[in-house]
Amino acid sequence: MELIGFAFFQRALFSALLAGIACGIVGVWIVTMRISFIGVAISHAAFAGALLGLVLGKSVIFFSFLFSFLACAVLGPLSDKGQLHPDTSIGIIFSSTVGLAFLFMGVLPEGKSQALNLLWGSILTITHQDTILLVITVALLIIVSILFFKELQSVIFNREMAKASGISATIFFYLILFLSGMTISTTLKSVGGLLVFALVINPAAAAYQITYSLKKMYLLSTLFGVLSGWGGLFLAAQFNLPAGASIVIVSTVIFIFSVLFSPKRVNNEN
Amino acid sequence: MKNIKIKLNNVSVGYLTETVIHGLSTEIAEGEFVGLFGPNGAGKTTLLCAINGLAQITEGNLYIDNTEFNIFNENKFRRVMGYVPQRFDIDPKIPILAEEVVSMGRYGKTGLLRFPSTKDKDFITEVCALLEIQYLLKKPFGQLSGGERKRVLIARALVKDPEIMLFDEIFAWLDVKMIDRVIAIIREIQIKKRITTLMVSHDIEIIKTLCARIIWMEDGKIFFDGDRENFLKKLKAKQWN
Repeated sequence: MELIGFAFFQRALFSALLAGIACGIVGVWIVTMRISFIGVAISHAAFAGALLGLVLGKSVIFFSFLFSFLACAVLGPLSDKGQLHPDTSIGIIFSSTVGLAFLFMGVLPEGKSQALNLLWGSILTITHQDTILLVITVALLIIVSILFFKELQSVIFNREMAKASGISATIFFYLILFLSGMTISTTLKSVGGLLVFALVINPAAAAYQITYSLKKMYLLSTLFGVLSGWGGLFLAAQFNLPAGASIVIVSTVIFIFSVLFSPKRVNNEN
Repeated sequence: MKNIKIKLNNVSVGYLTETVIHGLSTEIAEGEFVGLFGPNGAGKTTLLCAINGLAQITEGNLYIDNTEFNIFNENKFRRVMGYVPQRFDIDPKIPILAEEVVSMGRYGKTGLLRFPSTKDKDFITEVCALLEIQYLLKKPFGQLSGGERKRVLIARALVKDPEIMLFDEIFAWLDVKMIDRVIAIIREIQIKKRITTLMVSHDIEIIKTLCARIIWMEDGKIFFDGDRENFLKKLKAKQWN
């Protein structure tokens, strides 16, 4: 507990708060729209992009953004036109982005520790600039979620029906994809390329088990995201574990409890 | 002279490699109630989807109020088109209540960065009372039965205060009492507000009761287009053959 007095730990706690909120919001969209296969592909593309940034000695976040946006640009139209079968496409995209990531890791000119940090996350070494980017991402996500609540709700309910109501459903679908890409890119460094997706899915999937209200789902998902972040950080500090992995383990435990005590489970069993 | 509300000029519609509607031309006047009849796969649902732009027109042109429907004005027209789909599968756990589904029908009309006004809410309440779905409003939409969902979706289409209604097998899943109720409501609204209506149905009794004009489709083309009496004659002749 004496760690709380240290600036780096306080910064880590603040980053975990922001990452929890950001992933919690994006998770609501991904879980309710059942597009987790797209999210997985985006997170791996972001990871590959970050490694290319390292190889080129350029901005890791910029390349991570670039790759995740490219993934959105490829996956979005395929999904939107209903031509994408998750089983096949996820296999191809997942394996190719992981292949690219390891290729870039293989040609890294210097030591591999930076690459491993991106893989597992290093929330304790987060910089001031990373935190500012996280703040911007969270602010953008909150503003979009509030201002376009009714449009996003319509798109979540059913994209075709949203279109039939005169809502630009395709634009909102792409907005969701690009904000997902942005969130994954900015949280990559703190949680890690392999684990960030769990922080997107688990808190939202846990909230999904508990409520029939979309507004409450947003709140619960962000709450579970933050609890996962903070719980993971304290576990990591207490038992000297990797922070990213601890965060994901806590989020998984929250998910398991939510399934066990889900009122929806009781309803469906009846 | 009647105003032409919907005009299809040599329209073909297809999905991926398959063409479902082949060069179809027709005009539907303002306030007309048209039944779309025909066997499975005749292209009836596709025709409704082409009119609201959910299915892509590969050839020909669609005009609404004498203006060509295109990607730049599609939302403007969709905001005055109520649409009730034939099938609607949804995750039973989806965190959306029936009242939110009804309100969504009006979101396009409400516009971006605006929330439904008191007037909007009053109108929504009025439509829900008409369809007797007030007791469903606080329930999760995914937990409703097929018939209850259908009524909620009909309310969703009506809260737009539409100028055009596109109904696809709306009576499927409804019990006999509710079919009579919905027929009465649709008839009343259609006459009072002169809503141009296209209704797909397999049920000849319902088509006879509601539709003054019937378009009979087969293999993506119009097989018959005429009034109720001639439709029944054609149907009888076809059955004898």
